[in-house]
Amino acid sequence: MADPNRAIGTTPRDIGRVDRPGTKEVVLDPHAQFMQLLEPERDALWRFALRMCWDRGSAEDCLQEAIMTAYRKFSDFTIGTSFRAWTFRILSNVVLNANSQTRRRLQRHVTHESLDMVEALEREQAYESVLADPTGLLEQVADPIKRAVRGLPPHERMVFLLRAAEGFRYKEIAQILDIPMGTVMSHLFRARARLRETLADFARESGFVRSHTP
Amino acid sequence: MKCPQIRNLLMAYLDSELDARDTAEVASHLEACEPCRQRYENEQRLERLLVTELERDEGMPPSVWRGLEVSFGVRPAVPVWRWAAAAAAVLILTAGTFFFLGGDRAELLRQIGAAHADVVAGRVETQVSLPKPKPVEAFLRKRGFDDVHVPQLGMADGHEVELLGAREERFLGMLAVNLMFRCCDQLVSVFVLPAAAAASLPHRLGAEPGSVASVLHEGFLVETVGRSDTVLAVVTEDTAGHPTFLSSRF
Repeated sequence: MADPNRAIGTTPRDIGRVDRPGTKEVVLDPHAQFMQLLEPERDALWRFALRMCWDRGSAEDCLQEAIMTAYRKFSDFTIGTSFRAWTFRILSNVVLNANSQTRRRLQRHVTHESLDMVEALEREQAYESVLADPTGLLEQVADPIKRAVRGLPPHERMVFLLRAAEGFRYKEIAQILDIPMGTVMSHLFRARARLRETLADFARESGFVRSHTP
Repeated sequence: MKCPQIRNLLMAYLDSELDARDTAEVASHLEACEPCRQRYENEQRLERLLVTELERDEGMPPSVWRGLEVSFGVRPAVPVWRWAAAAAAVLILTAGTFFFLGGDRAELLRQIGAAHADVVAGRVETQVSLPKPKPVEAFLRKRGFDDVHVPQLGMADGHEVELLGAREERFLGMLAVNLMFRCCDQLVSVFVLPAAAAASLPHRLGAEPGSVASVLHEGFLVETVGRSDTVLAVVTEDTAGHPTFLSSRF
């Protein structure tokens, strides 16, 4: 695909760093630039793909497709903007393209009536126990957090992971997923409510609540 | 604001997503209200734990990176090698998982067929001086294929197997390794390909871990064997003596 002997080119596929003749300036060609930008993001992209697909084969499939798409479209990327957000946007699209139902649900705004479950949960003694000693739950229940995250509907999981695991701002998530910011907030709210519910269930089922009740 | 309103804002406060006025109001409330502050600290602790737990997994698997490097053309070109043999079967094995290469399936099969024809015609030779599983696995590892297990020699599933050697190959610009076996008087080429090749194979290799799927395509029998992190595609011209023992060992 690439010929290292070629002069500096204008496409991302040119390989290596090239010294401009007659100057001391070292120009990073697009391929090297792409690789340099990708390097710090690759593990986070992998984690996101894995959590969304929950199957290593599909996750690798999605991730490679996303990275190759980013590579092919690298000339569209504006240097100076967030490469991380740009690649997550592409990866999210690959994941959503494989599941149109998730895309539809993602675009659907959740009304406040459907958020009442949160208030009910607030009263749950079980969740209070989890909050008081979350590491204790980890010791008592195998992998409770990953299991709880896995139990989220894909569209809520996507928003939750972008916020909690990857640290994107609400506005960035809205841009990545191409949905209004209010929808991001409602999905995130709901995702957290579900997580609380699941963790509370784990705590009740494992007897963790009883052992922490004064 | 009173406690219930503050609690409704706690997570947005935790996310640093409140405007300046609400942020100041929540901060001031938390300073004065012990139960709300305790609640906030607990939520903060749980959120941190969530992130720590979710980040505990390993990074991107080497197979993904290898596939990308091959597609980007970073891996070096491979010289042509010669080896004398005659064979009736060809196996294709893919290490890693699928990847969209956009390559031409028919062209991949043509190149594999031509490579095997070279083996049959004695136009290639091995690059491994000691045809034993461990040296061959080391040969593979040096080329980036570190998750391929080469089966022990001898009887396997009723087939007598002899490992003859290995050599580098190149298909559609991808680095590959040909493992050569003799099985029941047939010579077999096992092509270890980067995951990038899988999408170009004639059968979409969707075998679940532990399952086997077969399909006939252009005179080849394609068998896929899945496990959690590796998918194998086996192609043979000889459906009667197909050496499925290989796939069952991976």
